[in-house]
Amino acid sequence: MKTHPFLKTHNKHLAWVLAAVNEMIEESIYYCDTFAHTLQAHHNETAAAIFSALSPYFKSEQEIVLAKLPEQNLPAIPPWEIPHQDYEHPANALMQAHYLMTEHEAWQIVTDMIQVHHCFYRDLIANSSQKEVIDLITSLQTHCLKCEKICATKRVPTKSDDPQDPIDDLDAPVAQS
Amino acid sequence: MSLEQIPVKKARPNDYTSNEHPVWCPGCGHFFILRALTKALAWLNISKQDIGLVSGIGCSSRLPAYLDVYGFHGIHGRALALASGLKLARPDLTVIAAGGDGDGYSIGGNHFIHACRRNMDITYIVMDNEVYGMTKGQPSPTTDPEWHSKLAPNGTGLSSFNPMGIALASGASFIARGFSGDPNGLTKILTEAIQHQGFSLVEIKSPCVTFRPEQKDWHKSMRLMNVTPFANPMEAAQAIYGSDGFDTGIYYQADSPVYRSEASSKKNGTASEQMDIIEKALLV
Repeated sequence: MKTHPFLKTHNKHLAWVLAAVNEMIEESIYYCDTFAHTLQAHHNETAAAIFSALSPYFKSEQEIVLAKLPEQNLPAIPPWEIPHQDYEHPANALMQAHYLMTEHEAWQIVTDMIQVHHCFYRDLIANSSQKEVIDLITSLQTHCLKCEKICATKRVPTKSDDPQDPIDDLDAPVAQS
Repeated sequence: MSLEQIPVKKARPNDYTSNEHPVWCPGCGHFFILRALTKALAWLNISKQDIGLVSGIGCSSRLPAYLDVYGFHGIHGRALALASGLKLARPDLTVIAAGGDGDGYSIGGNHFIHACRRNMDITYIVMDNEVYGMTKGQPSPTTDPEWHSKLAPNGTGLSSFNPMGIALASGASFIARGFSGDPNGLTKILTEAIQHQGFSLVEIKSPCVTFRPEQKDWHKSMRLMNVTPFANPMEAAQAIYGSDGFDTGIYYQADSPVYRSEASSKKNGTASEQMDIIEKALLV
């Protein structure tokens, strides 16, 4: 797992944590739904199904956060200060996507997205002394671990992942130097 | 108003998305630009009814369909012509033009120069992937001369267009380069560009993963938000021409005279009076 030593999360209060975490999860949900749709539009049903399947997991992760929202007056954090400033944004994993991606690659990308969440939660716990923050993040981490385990079991290379057996592309892009 | 003084936001990025889902190739940088734009609009809390988004033709020009704001999918290279007309007719709108490098710098090259010269209050987002993606990979004005493809087997041999340099020379008052793979930095640039009074060029490096798959590695080369804005064009020119194209941030921001139509001061005139003013203005 990657480390992000410059994360600006030291001792943040619960409202800030809720706002930041909610922003991050919302991004993941948006991109999962969007990529599921575009993969389907590009006739890659297999990869589309994986993104579709992950979206409810992110939504249930968000439920944990939303359950706490009525008690808090959330601060408005400028989008460029959401704590991806010094580490990866969930969307970064998606830059490796392509329309012919295999099932294995799709699982890898969604796993990377979950790992971004996991890294953030781990750093929040390491840098927080407030019990309410630690409790919240612990439950989010547990949720992430469940998702990671599912992805790990699914992420088994299949026959179509074998480079000797690529999916047919009638107009294959040629890598340029 | 500085960014820190902006009031607590009410809108959310999803409020600005339409019911149409983007169908760009999975991995395309345009997805991240669309999201950054919705985040910028939400942060600025601009009413959807107060936004006009105009585009030309190309993959990137599909943008108006994906936003729930007033949109116009125009003709090739004419996004800025349409945006100029819209701003003259409705100076109260936040007018954004969007397109690609081929649309904006080649077919629309002349409009680009004169839009910079007029310095109207328009934000121009160029999603630059250095290729014509929609028509399967022809070289565009920003394509490297050595880039070989099925459609240009020997490369073009032509030196690349420098849009930021041209914009500076032509009179644009806000010039920035962003990277689609930097969601935070890009959102900040777009927010500043929309707030800026005058013509804002936001040139965004946006990988085309299908016809330029090697651009997937751009994220390794881009230097995120490492540029400091200059108000002096000479210093900005030095920064623009001194960059290898991988530095991001605002290069130039100046308080220059903004071209406005008389319509903005005669909003209560009859429709016919306003059209006369606009027609007169467009002859400039």
